Amino acid sequence: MIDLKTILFAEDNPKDVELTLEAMAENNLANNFLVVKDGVEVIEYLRYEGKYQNRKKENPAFILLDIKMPRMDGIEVLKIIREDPKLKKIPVVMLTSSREESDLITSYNLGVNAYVVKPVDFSDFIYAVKQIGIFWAVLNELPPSGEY
Amino acid sequence: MNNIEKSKEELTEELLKLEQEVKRLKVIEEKYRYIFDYSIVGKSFTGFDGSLNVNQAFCDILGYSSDKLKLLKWQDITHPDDVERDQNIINSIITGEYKSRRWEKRYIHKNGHIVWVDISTILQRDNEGKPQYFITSIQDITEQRLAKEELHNLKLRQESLLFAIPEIIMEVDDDKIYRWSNKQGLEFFGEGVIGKHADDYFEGEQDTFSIVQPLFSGNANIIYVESWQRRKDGEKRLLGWYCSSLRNENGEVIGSLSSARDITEQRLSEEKLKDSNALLRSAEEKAKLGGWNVILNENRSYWSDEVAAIHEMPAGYSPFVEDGINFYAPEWRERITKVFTDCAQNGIPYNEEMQIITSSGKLVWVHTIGEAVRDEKGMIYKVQGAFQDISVRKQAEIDLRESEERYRRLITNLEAGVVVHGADTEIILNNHRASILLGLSDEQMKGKLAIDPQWRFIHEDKKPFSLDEYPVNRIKDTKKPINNLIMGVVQNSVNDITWLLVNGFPSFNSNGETKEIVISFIDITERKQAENEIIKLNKALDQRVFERTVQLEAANKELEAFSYSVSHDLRAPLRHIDGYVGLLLRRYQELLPEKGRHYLHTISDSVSQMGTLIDDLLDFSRTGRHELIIQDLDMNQVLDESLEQIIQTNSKRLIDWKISKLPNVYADWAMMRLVWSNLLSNAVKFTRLKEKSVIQISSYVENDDVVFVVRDNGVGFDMQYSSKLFGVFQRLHSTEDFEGTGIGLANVRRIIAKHGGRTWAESELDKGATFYFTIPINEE
Repeated sequence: MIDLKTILFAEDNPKDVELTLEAMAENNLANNFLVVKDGVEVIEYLRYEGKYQNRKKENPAFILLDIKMPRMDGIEVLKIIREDPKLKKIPVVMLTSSREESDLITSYNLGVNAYVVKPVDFSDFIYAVKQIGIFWAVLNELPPSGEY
Repeated sequence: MNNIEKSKEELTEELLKLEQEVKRLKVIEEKYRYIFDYSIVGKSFTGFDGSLNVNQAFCDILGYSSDKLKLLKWQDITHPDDVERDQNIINSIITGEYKSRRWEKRYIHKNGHIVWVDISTILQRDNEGKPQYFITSIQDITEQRLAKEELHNLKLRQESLLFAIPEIIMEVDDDKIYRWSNKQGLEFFGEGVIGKHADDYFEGEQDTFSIVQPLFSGNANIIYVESWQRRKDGEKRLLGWYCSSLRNENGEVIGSLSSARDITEQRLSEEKLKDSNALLRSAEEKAKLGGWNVILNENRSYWSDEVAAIHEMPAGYSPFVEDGINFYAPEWRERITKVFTDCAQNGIPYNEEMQIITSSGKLVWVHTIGEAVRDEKGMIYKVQGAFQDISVRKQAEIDLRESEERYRRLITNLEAGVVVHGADTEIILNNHRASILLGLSDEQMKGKLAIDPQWRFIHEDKKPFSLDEYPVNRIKDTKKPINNLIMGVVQNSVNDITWLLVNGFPSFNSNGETKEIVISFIDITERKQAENEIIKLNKALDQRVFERTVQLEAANKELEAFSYSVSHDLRAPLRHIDGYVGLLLRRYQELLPEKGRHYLHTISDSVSQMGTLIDDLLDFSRTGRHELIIQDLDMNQVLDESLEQIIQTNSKRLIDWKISKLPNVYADWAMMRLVWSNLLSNAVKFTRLKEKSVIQISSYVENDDVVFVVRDNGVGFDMQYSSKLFGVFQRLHSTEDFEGTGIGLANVRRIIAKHGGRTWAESELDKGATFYFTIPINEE
């Protein structure tokens, strides 16, 4: 079994979290998931702040971001990541209910790596999440660690 | 005896002989005497002393009797001037120098007149040669002599005549060679003319010879001909020749004697005269002005051609005075009779404008002027004058009066105030309306200068006009018109502002100096007030619009927030429902009875349907908010892109696409794609029941629009419900027959409306449907 890096998953809705994790479980990727409740927590995690002060010094394999979250939404999080030299190379995938053009444009302008709209149909949803997991966690080659 | 006898006999014989001799001599003498006495030649035996013994002829020549002449000597009857010369001649004979002499001399006739004689004389000498007497013969040659003198004088006269007359006189022979010329001829042609051919002196082609030909053929005696000929100095001159034929004693023509005169100047002045006559006539005609006179004792009018023409009478018409007067229109006859009579009798000139009736019955205004002409005794013998057709002027005067009247009425009744200023800005004319608007009486206006401080003129911002800004001053200074100047007039008496809209323009004289300045103005006080109202209203409106815009923007934001939450929040629970149903089916399918599983599937279907609804609704809302990016669009390409996708998703269907070439339009690419996708998928959807779908796509131009047409052979719809076709969530078929949310056509209508186009459809149940949409041409 390959030693997979952490997948940071920001989602405030526990149902979505559960469904997503169920989907990931079908690919045996669920264990690597670290679920945070909002954008603030994403940043705390990435910057080793608060309860993440002592976590292992390593960036996640990728970040799966919902857009609509309390306190700090996904767009803001993306902006901060891309402006932070230490964080900017982390792949970020938007997984969201929003198909709003403005969200799409803003996200791509800020340098999102992928944008996936959550399908309503569960089978489709599972398929989508699986694909994301396999691609970004397994297939995608990350920049060398020294680069962080 | 014998001797005596013989002597006697001899003597007798001798005596007989002598007697015979005497007899013979007597006969001779008789003969001579006869000759002497009866000779027609005057004869005289003239003695040395001058005594005369003459015959009858001599007497006849000199008128004396023979006896009388015996008492006279030749010196007495000889002309005193000739005596000495005659004596010398006689002496030359006496001296023997001449035997005889013959000369011509003058005697004085008994009556005192001179008698010219041809005289010859011979000296008679005796046997010893001693001179005895002269035998003289005379013949009266007075007449001969006179004739000769006459001839001589004639010749002299002729010569001086030829010298004195100005005409050129020349003679040509029958070969047209100059044979003789007088001095004038030589001076004209030059000394070398004699012996030259007449031809040599012609200038240009001349038909002279053919004209004078009859002279030479003997058919005419005198012919006049004009020809251009070269003068000695090379100049071209016109000569008028009178040519007469010269004949010899047999009457044969041997040449021509011709006299010529240089008529070049005459011809030129004739032509000039002709020209100036023509000019005069033409001037008369143009001015319709002619002259006339009446010789009173003839009682007849003499009219110039133009006077006749004005009466429409032939040229040369000379009527009696009464007839002339009868041409005048009846109402003028008394007047013309009076003024003419006054003129003819008392010499009072007249100058009248009246009307005549021409021969064709036309009424014509004329200007007639008459004046009396007196003879040296002061008696009026003639009335003369000018006569002019002034109908054009008269008509112009009438027109002008009418036009003046028209403009006066116009200006008087004009709603606008009109003021005409002179060059120094003084008012020379104004209408009543102007006085009212400026608050002055007409009398006060007259002559007023624009700078008079009766009024104060102000700008719209209430600042007063400087004097330079006064309309009339501005036009005077700039020489340019003023258009639509807004000016307030503050009348000192009334503390009210009258607002005027002022227009003005200068008019110039021929030197380009300002002659008059016309200012017109209308009262726009009410308009001005209304404008102020409008401005106020506009301001209020702006404020309201602003407020509404703010509200609208807020509403828009709300709507966006709403759509956002719809897209996000509304979908989330749906997704969760489906998710958990899915998990349930995946994980615990075996634990559920068949019916339970059916329920779960139904839940899942409903969720999916609702998801589609929400997605379509969001699409629709997005379409409304979408900012169009209008560009020149190749509709064929847009259609192809949409078509590709549709063909792919319906690969199992048998569809006959009939697509015509489409024009370019100005439209938004993404929106057009949506339109085509919707219409094409609809067509595909509603032809599903057909074995073979036929979908036609075409376009045409109507007015300023391109009309696009999508026609299918599908189930169609009832036109009764066509109005619902393009409404949101409106469906004409059940979801069971044809899936759909009822958003597609609403979207199409919305998009096309945003492009400024229209959408409609035509159909009949089961006979297919045709959808139309338009895009305006050149809508950029």
